[in-house]
Amino acid sequence: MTRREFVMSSVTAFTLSSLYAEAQEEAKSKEKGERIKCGVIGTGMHGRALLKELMRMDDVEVIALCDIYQPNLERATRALGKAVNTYSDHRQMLEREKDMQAVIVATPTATHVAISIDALQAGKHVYCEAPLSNEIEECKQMAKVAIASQNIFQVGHQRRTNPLYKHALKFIKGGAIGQPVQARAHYHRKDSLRRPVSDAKYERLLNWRLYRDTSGGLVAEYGSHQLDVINWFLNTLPVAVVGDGGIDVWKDGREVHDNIHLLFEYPNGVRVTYTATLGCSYEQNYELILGTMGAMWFSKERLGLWFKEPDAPEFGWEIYARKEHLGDALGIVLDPEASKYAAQLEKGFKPAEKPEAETKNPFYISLSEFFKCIREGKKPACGVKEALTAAVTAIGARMALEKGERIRYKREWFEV
Amino acid sequence: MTRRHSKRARNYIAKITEDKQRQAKTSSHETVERCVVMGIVTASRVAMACKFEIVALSDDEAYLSATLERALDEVEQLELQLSPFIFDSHLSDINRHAYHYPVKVEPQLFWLLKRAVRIGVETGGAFDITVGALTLSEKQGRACNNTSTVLHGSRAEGEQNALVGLKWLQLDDDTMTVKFLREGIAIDLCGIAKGYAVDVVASRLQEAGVDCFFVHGGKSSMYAFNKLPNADVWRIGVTNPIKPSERLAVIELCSGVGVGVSEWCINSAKGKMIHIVDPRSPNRNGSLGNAEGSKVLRAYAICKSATDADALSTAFLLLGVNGVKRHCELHKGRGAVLLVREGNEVKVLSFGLKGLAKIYHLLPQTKDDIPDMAGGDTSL
Repeated sequence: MTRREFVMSSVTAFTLSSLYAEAQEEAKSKEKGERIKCGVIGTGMHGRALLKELMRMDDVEVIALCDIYQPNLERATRALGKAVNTYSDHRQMLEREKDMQAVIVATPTATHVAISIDALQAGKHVYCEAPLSNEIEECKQMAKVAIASQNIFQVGHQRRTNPLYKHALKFIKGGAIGQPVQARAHYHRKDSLRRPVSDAKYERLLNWRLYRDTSGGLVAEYGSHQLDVINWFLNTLPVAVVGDGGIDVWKDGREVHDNIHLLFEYPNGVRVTYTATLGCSYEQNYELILGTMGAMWFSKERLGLWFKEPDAPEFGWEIYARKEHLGDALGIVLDPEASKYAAQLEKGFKPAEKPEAETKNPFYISLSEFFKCIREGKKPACGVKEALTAAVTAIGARMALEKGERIRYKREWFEV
Repeated sequence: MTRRHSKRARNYIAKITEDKQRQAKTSSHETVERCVVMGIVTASRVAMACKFEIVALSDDEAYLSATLERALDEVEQLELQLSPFIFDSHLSDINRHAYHYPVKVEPQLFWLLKRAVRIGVETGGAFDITVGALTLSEKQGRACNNTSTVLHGSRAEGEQNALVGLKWLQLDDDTMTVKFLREGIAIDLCGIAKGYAVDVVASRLQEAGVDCFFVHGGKSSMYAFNKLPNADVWRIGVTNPIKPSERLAVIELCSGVGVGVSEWCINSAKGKMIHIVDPRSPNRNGSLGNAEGSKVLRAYAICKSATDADALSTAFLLLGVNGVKRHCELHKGRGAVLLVREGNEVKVLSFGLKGLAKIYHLLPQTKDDIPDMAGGDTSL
C-alpha cells in the first residue's frame, strides 16, 4: 500500500466511524425527544432506589421531591446532587409544579391510592409502587379513576416488564411446561424490616410495614409481586386460599405476621404455595411453576431456569443452550436476549449493541417503560387492572391469615 | 441480622478486656476489640462476595439494631450497582455501552469514578480501575474474592495490556457521563467498592447518631469511629502472612479512620504469588511485575476514608517500600503499614501514621495466647 492509499483508507475509515457515531447520536436524540419532567413522592429507601435509576435516564429530569419525613427528603436531595424543589405535602407539589408531567409514588401502601388519585386528577402521569392498596374498595376506586383518566397509570410490579418473565411466558404459552399443576413462591429474609426511630412519634410513620392499619403484611408487600407472576403465568385468578402465620421471630411490638404459609387453589386443580419469613434467608426469593412437561424457576428476578420432563418434546435449540445446575437438576437458562442477540449478529451488529433496555435492571426497565408509554401513548404492561388482581389476591390471603379460615375469592372483588 | 450479646457474654468481654489491657495491648489480626459493658450490638450481611460486619455501642439497643440493619441494606444496594458480575448492574451497563455512547450515571457513582481516577493519578497508575479488561474476563461468571484477581484472559497479552489506562476513560462533569475512548476498555471497581460501601455504612451510622462503631467489609476494608466509653480505642491485629498463627503488631486506630488491606495470595501449589495485577506493567501467569513491590507481602493503607484506603492498599502493594514512603510524605493524612519479606523473616514498616493510628510491634506469639473478643477472630 502506498502512503497515499494508506492516508486515504485511514481518512475513509475515520469518516465512516465518525458518520456512524453521528448517526447513532442522532438516532438516540431523535428517540429521546424532550425530557420528561418528573417528581418523586416518597423518598424512603425504595424511593431513593428508584431515584437512582431516574438519574441515569437521559430523557427524564427530576424536578421535585416530596416526603413528610424531613431526613428522607434531605437524603434524597443529597443523592440527587442538585437543588430541586422539595415539599412535605404532595398536594402542594402537584399544585405548584405546573411543568411536572409525571410523578413516582413510593409512599407507604396505605397512601398509594389517595396520592395517585390526586396526581391523576392534577393531570400528571403516575407510576405507583405496588401493592395498589390493602383494601378492595380502594383498589376499585383507583381503577375507576385510572381508567377514566387520559393519563398513564402504571404500577410497579416490575416483573411484568422484566424481559426474563416476558420471555418465559412465551414458552409457557407455547406449552413448554405442559399443563400447569402447581406453583410455588418464596420470600425468605433474615431481617426485622424495622426502621430506626429516634422519636416515638415517628414509629408508625416509619415502621408502617409492621402495623395492621398501614400494611398488608408480607403477603402484600412482597407476595403481591410474586403472586402477580403466578396469576399472569396461569392466566387465571385464585379461587380460594387458606393460610397460617404468626409473629414468631420478631416479638418487638409489631402487629403483622413475620412468618406465613399460604395455600391457594386455582382453577383446573392448580395448587399454589406461598411462604414468607423474616427469620431465615435460605432460598431468598423465587417463583416456581410446575407443569406436566416441566418446570420453570425464577430467582431474584434475574435468573430463569427451565427443567424439562424426559417425555417433553424436543425443540432442538435447547441442546446448545446454556445450562445451570440447581441442586441435582440441570436447567436450561432462560435468556431473553439469546434469540434477539443471534438475530442481530446475523445482521452484522456487534454484541455491545444489544438492545439497551434489556441490559438494565428491573427498576430501570419498569420506569423506562412508564416513560415510553407517556411518549407513545401506549397502555402500560402493568396497568391498574393487573395491579388490582395482584392486590386483591394478597388481600384475600391476608384475610385467610387473620381469620384462620378458608377464604373464597368472589369474582366481583376483581371486577371494576 | 443483628445480634445482642447476652449479659454473660458481655461480662466475659469485660473481663477479658481487662486481662488484655494488662497484656500490653495485643490483639489478633483484624480483631475488633471491645471493652465496655453496655449495649454492644453486632450485625452482619453477606454482600459483595464477603461478609460485612458492624459492631456498635448504644444505650438504645432496639434503635441501634434497626440502624445497623438499614445501614447494611446500603451495601446490598451498592452491590447491585457496582458489581461487574451482575449483568444488569450500573457498572456492567457502563462496561457494555460506554465505548458506543456516553453512559449517564447517577451522581454518587460518578463521584466514586472520579475519586478512583484521582487516586490512580496520585499513585502513578498503580491503582487503575480500567484494569477491568485484564481482570473481568476471568472473574466474570465466578464469585469475586477479595480484590482485583487476575489470572488469564481471552485476548493476547499485549492486546490486553493496551486496554488498560486512564487515558481511555472520559468522565464528563457537565453531563455526568462516562465514555470509553477505545473499544474493549472495562472498569473494575473491586479494588475500591468495598471501601466505598464501608464509608457509606459509616456515614449512615453517623447520620443516625451512632457514636461508637467499627465496620468492616470482608476484613479488607474497615472504618473505626470514636473511642469507647472507657477511652480505649479500636485496634486491629497484624498477623504474619507466612505464619498466620503468629502476630507481629497491633494497630490502634484513631477515630474516623478507614483502613484498606491488600496482600498477595500465595498459591502454594505453584509457589507463585497471584492476586493483584500491576496495571502499569501487567504481568500475568502469576509472576510479579514489580520487583520492589514483590517484597511487600501485605499493605495496610490508613486514611480518613475507607474508599481511599481500599484503593491505596492495592497501590501500596505495588509501589514498593520506597514508593509508599514517598507517597505518604507527599500526601499528608495517608499512612501505611507494610509487611515486607526479608529473607525468611517478615518485617513491619510504617509510614505517615501520625494522627491516624499508632502501631505496637509485638514479639511473635501465637493466636491462642490471646482470647478472641466480641467480633471474633477475623484473620485474613
